[in-house]
Amino acid sequence: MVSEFQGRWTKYYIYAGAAFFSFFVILPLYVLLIIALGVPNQTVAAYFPALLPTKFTLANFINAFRGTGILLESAFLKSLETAFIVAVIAILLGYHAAFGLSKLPFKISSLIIALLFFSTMIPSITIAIPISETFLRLGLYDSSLGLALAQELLVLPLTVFILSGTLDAIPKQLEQQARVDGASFVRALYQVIFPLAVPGIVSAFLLSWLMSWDEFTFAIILSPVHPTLPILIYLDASARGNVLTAASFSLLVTIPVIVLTIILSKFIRAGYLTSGITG
Amino acid sequence: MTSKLELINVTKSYGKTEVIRDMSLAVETGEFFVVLGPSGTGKSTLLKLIVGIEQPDDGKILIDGKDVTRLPPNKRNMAMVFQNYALYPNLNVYQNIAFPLKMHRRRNIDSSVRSVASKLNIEDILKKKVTQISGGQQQRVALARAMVRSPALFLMDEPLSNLDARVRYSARSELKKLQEDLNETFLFVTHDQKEAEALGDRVGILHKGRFEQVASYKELYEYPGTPWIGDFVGDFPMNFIGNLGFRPEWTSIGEGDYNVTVDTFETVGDIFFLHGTMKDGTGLILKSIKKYEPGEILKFSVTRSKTFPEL
Repeated sequence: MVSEFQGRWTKYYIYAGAAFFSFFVILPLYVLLIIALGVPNQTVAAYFPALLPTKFTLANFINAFRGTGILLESAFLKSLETAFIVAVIAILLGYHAAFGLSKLPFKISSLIIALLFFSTMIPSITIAIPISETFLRLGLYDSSLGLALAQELLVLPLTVFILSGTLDAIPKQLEQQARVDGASFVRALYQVIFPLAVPGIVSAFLLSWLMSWDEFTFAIILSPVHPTLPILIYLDASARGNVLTAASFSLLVTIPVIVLTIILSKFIRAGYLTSGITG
Repeated sequence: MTSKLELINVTKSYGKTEVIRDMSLAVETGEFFVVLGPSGTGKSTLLKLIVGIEQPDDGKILIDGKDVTRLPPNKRNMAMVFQNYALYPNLNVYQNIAFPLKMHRRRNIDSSVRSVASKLNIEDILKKKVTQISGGQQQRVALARAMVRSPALFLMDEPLSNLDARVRYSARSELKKLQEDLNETFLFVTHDQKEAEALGDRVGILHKGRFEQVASYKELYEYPGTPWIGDFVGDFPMNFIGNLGFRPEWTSIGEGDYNVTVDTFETVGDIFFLHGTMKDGTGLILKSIKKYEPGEILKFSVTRSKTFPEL
């Protein structure tokens, strides 16, 4: 792959670089893990916390659940529901938008995608406040659907971007062939192109799910009464000052993220889609 | 009797570029019609218009005398083989061949697929993925998918050009035999003269968005309608002295009214082709039975020629 850099030490440089970057990702996770599972006087209560705690306990979890069991459960369900709605709407709208964009000249479609991303440059908080006023009137305030609709603002540009990349990689001839073979426009769209776009669709679905799962600004403004998980953790860590509970919950939030990321990495693989299509 | 396919004054532009200009054509039932032309002359656009992927700006397209100009591709009852075969990569060979039948909600899908597969000798790869089979097999699968529902018209966009030379020759003769056996109407697009010569009952020469001449390949070679066709058709372009056109083999070296200076030689089998220049700078290619030295001045006569109207 990197033919011009195939020295003897190349792979060690790559390993070193990978280790360096992983350090930044893994260390916070590790700290989270030992706070959540360690004994408090070896972690948060210690002046000089050990890097390797010797005693482990599930007490933090048990306490966290005991203290906020119902809150946690409802926050967990709310997050799950919102993320699911976000991902479904993102795919439904994103697939069709991307299909439309794939019919336009590249110059125009790339301009439209750039304009879509423009909306994400506006700080969420400036949008969230006017939205909350409207949502109050519409009865969407504090609801999963309302929050999901607001989060689409962040998620949709990325979804459209991913899906239009996926659709561009599918040869135009396949759609034309399907039409000649007797498929109506609708059948070509859903029975021929959609299955071919599945890797991109799964990626877009998981990414939108993840983005909603840990979204903060819209969640805290549009749904403060029945909060999502990140908001609950924030309230525990800052407002209620309970770091141990927050750490336990954070771990719970992180586990699906890690699992999904691993699944995701299987789908985001260059050349997966087009290999062998051209003769 | 009505023609299988008829184009009446079809016009198509992209922006300001007129790709197909006021084109008319009639292809008869059971005919193998080849559209021959250099790249960029609108060959693919023509196919897209006929099959309905693109709409003409003006004019009509008839199938069996029925106007299909405004029908979508799925209502036209045509089959198409693209240059890259456009096999559905997520389906296996069997599913690819069955696809048009499913779309048309036909019955007896299984027996139709198997009978067409046995005709094309691909029964043993029906379960394979289309990415696992060779180019020649892919071409057969694409052909099988086209044949399976007996369409009114077969359209082919350079279906042999992605094959290795050796496979290409056998695929070419098989295709011709298949068309004769089926007695179906084929419209075959290519830029390869050898294919046009081997396959076409008639060949339409496409130039600048219209058919410059429609005739058998032999006729095109011997009686080109325009100097451009004389230049384009054949292994060697036609020679021109003024408005007099002649093929390299329509000459006799030794005696005659013309002088030519030998530049280089080309050997094709045991025949020589002499590249030379006349006094006024006109380049010529003449057939010769023996070799001459470069720089030698030869006399030659033209034994047969075609006179074109003065430009």
